[in-house]
Amino acid sequence: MRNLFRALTFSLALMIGGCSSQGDLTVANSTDISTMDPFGMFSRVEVAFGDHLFQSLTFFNKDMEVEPLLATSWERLEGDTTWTFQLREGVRFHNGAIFNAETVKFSIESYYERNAAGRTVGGASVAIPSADITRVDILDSLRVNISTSSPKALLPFYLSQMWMIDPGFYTDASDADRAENPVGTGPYTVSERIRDSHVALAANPDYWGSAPKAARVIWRVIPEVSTRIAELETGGVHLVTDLPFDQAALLDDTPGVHVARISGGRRVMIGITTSGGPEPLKDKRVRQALNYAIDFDAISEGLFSGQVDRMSYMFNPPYNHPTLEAYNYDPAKARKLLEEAGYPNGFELSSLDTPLGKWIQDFELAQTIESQLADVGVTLEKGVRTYEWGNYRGKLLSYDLPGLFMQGSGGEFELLTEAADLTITSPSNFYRWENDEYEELWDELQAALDPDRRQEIGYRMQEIVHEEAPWIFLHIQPDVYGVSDQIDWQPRPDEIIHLWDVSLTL
Amino acid sequence: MLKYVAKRLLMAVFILWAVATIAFALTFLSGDPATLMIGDHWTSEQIASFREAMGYDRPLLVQYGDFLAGLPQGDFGVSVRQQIPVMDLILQRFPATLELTAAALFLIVFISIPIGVLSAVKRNSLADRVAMSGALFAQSVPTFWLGIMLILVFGVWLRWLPVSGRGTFLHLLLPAITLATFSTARIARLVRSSMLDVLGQDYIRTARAKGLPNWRIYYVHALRNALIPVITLLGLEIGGLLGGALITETVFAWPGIGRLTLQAIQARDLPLVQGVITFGALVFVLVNLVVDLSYSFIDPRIRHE
Repeated sequence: MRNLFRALTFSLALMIGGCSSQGDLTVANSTDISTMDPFGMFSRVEVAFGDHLFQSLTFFNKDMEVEPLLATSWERLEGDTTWTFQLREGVRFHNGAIFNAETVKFSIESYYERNAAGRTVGGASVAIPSADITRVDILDSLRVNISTSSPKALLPFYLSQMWMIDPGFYTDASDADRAENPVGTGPYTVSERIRDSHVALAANPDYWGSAPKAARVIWRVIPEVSTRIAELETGGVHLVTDLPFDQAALLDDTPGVHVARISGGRRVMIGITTSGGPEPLKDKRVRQALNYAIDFDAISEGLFSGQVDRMSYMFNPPYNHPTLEAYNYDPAKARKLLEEAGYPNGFELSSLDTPLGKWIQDFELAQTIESQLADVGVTLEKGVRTYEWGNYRGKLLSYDLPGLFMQGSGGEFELLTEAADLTITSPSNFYRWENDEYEELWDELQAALDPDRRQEIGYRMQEIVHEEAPWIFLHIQPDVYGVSDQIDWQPRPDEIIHLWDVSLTL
Repeated sequence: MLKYVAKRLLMAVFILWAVATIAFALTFLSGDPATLMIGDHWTSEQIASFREAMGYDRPLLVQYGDFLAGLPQGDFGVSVRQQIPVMDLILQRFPATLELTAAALFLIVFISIPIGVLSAVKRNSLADRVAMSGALFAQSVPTFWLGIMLILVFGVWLRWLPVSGRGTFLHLLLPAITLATFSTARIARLVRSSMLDVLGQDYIRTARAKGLPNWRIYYVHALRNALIPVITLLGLEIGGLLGGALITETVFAWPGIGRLTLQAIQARDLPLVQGVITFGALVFVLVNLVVDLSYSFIDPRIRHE
């Protein structure tokens, strides 16, 4: 009896002691923060999490614009390849170390050294080769000159992807130390981490800026979507990511929570091999015909409950072409174009290839497209072929999917990296598409400083791609979040979640 | 006895080698490891230098040799994504898996055996029918569905228990019940049939003739002999559970080995995939060795020669 009593009091103590405190702002993701190494955090979730601990010279804000952060101002010098950055005074790292010009030089050089050694540079993996910084010169303790190999109009943007790290800690830190003990200048520090369970962040008491609104923020990982929703409904978490459409519809009617939807940056299309593949696909009239053969409204209603946006442009906002119209469903026109191209009775392709489960409803989407193409006479000998993502990605990169293949392009919200994907030298040009005018525009874009001219180039590029149709334009995958009414939070289109200015009302 | 243990251990080494080799081969069959692990916009140069840095450009046999050489020390290399030695990651998760397994095992043993015995003793009674239909139901219910239903009922509607995560004793209840359900049903049915066999034996009649009380006949004389196949099955179950309960851990966000396995596969973290597979096999082999050795304690007639 005494043992039973003891067991009961013990469980009671555990129950009380184990409850998380009421004021914790909690977000639940489907995947874990796999490392806290500033050069290892890679996924959108990890980069967003990292932004709470680490900061860059510049900040890419919710309006997709660059603003000052650890640098207060910058100017471009004569010659166009060197910029001077004025640094913020009075910034300290979590360990007390002072942030200054030395820090900037060390951080940027570390990124480039690691990249050259073939090691991951996390969220900066696009920015590092794009910026191609050649040297960092210290002018005084709060001013640096940063030089690039060629004029880079977007240097301030690229710098928003490179976190500043403390040389005192990171020079000799072991891999395990880097992964476990982040030392940044951000508004939060790590107070507890249980792998595959949660990371608890506590407000940094010595933060240089205004204190974050929530004193503690918990990043939980809950892989199963039903469980995430149950936690949201019972108040265990305040924000959940990666909601499927059907579940989101149910949440709309639940009191105390709401659904936030935003058209994300991930565009889904059917890639077309424009050279080196099947003969008919080399003709742009055929590629246009494939676009006219698609009944997108039927796809949207049938597979996505009408909740996806049609993709008419190829660059994410704010660079999206404002007046380009998506190909409409016009099977008669499709047949006519095929006839003009010399295929009055259509033609047969080998297959339509897709990974399984990489993009929402990818397999069902491919099957629907197979039947719609058949309606205009384009048939598939082997039908829809599915691959495990790993194999599929290998085949994409080695151009081993000649014909039609499902493709999704991630959101960068930055013109240059997105435009690069269709240049002939890019490994992401899976379509092997080549266009002289596009290449000339690309060369000009890399150096163009004037925002209006950049926008103009971007628009023209999209017109060319629309006309040339190296893919069948499909849709933009939306991001859907479940949000507690206790917090005031708006989603960003780039999947990044920042919580320091979110407060929790009890 | 010692000779038997030595022989079994030797066999275990062989099994582990075979499993590790298959794990190694499978991870390479699933595509080029470098292209698997990189991001959307990497350049060809970045891919090439990544391949070199990870050692994936070396001949496969050399990589295999390195992999085997590390095995005896439990060295599976370093996780590509988490940058921590694979063995450390496994050992960090093991307590959570152990806790869940122990709780589930407790439920399995203390529910399935009494039910099985009762069903056998009261064969074809209403209690037997109810118990066995219940067992059939519990065995056919998908773990995934059961877990979500328990969350809905006890977490969302009644608000008695926490929905997910690991922490307090209360957090343990739902995942343990979910995990135990299938095995409890399976073992209850086995106990029943095994008891029925034993209850027809001569020595039971002798025990009755001696005038022994029923509980003594059932729980001491009959059950002990009926337990051998049960222990075998239980061993297999424990071995499986310790290797990680993938579905239960996923539904309840329980940070155990099963989640680690899933995460390793999703992140294409090859050293970690190889590590968790081999570790799972090691645990399975060891548990079954212990089970086999335990036979002679339960039934002294069994001698390992």
